[in-house]
Amino acid sequence: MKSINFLLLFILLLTGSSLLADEREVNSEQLREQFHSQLYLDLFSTYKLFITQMANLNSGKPVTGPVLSWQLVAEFNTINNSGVREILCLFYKIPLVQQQKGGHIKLVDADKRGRCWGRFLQPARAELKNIRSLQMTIALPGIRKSRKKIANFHLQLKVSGIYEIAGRALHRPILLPLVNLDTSNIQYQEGKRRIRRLPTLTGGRRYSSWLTERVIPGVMVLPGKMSDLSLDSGTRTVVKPGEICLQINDQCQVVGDVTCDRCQAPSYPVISSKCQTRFGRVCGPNRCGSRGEPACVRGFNYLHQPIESGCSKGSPAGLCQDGLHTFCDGSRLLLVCL
Amino acid sequence: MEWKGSKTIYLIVAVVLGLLAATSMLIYRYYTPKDDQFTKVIDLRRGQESVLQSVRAIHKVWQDGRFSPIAKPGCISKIPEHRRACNPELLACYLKELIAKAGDKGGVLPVEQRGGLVTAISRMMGSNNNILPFARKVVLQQRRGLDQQNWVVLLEDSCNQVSLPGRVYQYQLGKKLWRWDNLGQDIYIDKYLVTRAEIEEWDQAIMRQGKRSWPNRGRYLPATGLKLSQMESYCHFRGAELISAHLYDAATYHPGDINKINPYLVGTSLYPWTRHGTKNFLYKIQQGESSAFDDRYCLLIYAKECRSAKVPYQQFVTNATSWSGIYEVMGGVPEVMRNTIHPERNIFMSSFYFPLASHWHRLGVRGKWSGSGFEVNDFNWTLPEGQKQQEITPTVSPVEVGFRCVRNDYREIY
Repeated sequence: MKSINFLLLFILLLTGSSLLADEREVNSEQLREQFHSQLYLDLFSTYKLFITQMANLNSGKPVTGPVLSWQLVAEFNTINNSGVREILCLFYKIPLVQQQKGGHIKLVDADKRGRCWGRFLQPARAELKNIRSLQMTIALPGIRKSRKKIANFHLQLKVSGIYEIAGRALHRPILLPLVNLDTSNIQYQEGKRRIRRLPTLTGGRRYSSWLTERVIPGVMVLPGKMSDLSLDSGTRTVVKPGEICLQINDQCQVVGDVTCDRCQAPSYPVISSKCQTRFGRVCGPNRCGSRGEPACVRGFNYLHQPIESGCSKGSPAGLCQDGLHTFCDGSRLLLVCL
Repeated sequence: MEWKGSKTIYLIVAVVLGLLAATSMLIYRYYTPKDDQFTKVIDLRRGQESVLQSVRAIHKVWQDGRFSPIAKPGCISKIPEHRRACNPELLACYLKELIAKAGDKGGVLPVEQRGGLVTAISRMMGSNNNILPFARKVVLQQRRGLDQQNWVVLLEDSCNQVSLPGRVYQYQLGKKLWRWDNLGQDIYIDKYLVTRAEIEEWDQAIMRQGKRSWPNRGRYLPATGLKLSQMESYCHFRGAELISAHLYDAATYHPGDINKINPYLVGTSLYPWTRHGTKNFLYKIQQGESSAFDDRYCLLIYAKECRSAKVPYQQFVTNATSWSGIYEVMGGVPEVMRNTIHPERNIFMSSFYFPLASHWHRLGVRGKWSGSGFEVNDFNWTLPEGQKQQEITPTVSPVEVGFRCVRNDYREIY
């Protein structure tokens, strides 16, 4: 009798545990898939990215920080399927001890002003709990890629801890294409300052490429319900011809807003500072070199040495119509031809 | 004996119960409907992945300029081969094929917009809200059962411009020189003159009233008959501007040693295809040392003799390239440009109005156009100083004038 009871108990335990184990696997897999899919949908149309955890990105190591604290990992400017612009915040709660579960990834909406600070308590659009660690990688042109090839402008999340077989954690990367992102719209936080990376000069490159590099070079994919094909939801007043739309100071920093995308006619480069690596820009139509108009840029190195730039009478930095000379328009601090 | 029978029964019951329990759990796991929310979000993601896949396929055809049409093979044969890449007409043919193949099935399909399957959008249009200066637009519809989601795909044109290499250049008139450089700038010049097909696309995009008429047939011939202001408007529509003379010279004067980006002396050449002008067939003809005409000359310069001999213009278009990669330089139609330094010299006169022997067929030799008329009197046919020759004034009217655009790029930061 005893042996029969033992046999019965054994059969029941064996069946039960194997089925329970399967159930746990199914749930973990389901959670991961659901998280991946929701993230994919929410971040698909991302056109701007702000990375706060630069030291952790592409390091090949898990994201670190004070344990049990919520870290803002990145901010995404995107457009949802209804054509509405959104800012989404990705938070990560650092687990108590690296080897234990307790980490938490969460994607939430920014507040009405587009800020992410303190938003980790908000209801999640997508989340994954009980994770052990998180590694983030973003592949960009020119940045050395990880060993496994990731396509450009894809964000990879390696989440460990939620899915294990025989005690061995499986790192199953979550790969997210950020379809409308290009390099000029990626910002990084170093220390407590946001740094806007200016487009790199092409002086060293002989042949530049017309195409804007994105997931698919030269292509944008936008939800069809957008009321207008504009990424900036602010006021879009037209900038008049002849107005400065990109102001550069002597330290080659951008001053004020860049409004060249609001010119009625394409903008063109002008000399408005002593910066030796970058020109300001003025809204077209381009009449540079004519009397009263900005001087055409001569370049930075037309002699065998860098030329003096800046707004000054007789500056060789500008090109004028034969018979005219360069002068400084004091009101606009622009090199003009008279 | 009864006790032995009970043992067996207990064993059998235990095994049967165990099997029943296992079976019911398996049935619960595999046959019970999963969470609706989970299924829905997975399906949405798969749908979006298929949209991205469709966009990649469209982009490939756009960039490569080829696909194998089944329904209408003649659809792309009317487009010259050298203009098929980044061509909206070819892409429209491809999209029509997709629609024809799909039939009533769902999935991701292009939809017709006002103006066709592929339309041009420009920041200069309407509300000035467009995010790219200029692009072609395709609308895809993703069908999910009764639902549908539209996607706008914007395609940049990378096929029809060349990048002006970063280096020091020179503009010259007579003995006066103006050196300049484009280091740190992205300048893209149209490979070919603006065509009639492109002007038709512009007309359609801005809904221009009235149809233009062209003197000759051929949608991929240079667009002529436009006033200077119209040419500038078209270039603005493309997010570009009319090419200026010093940029044109930079793209056409052979620089000699291409590797020296800042040479002490910036050389100029007489012709775009060679550095050594005086050894050239054209120089000899212009010096009177030779007068024989050969059809092969028309591959480099489409002069008056080429038109008389009815040499196909397309051969010239695809062969006559300068060092930088722009075509249609010497001969063909006169080409207008904005001249910053000498505004009175705004048209490159080398064209099929002049025989090979004419000194108009030299780089940097420009005349003047009023910009508004096409009669002979609207042009100044006087050769600049230093050109030793009698003036030759064409008698043909209206004079056809072509143009091309250039873009000085700037990557906006949102």
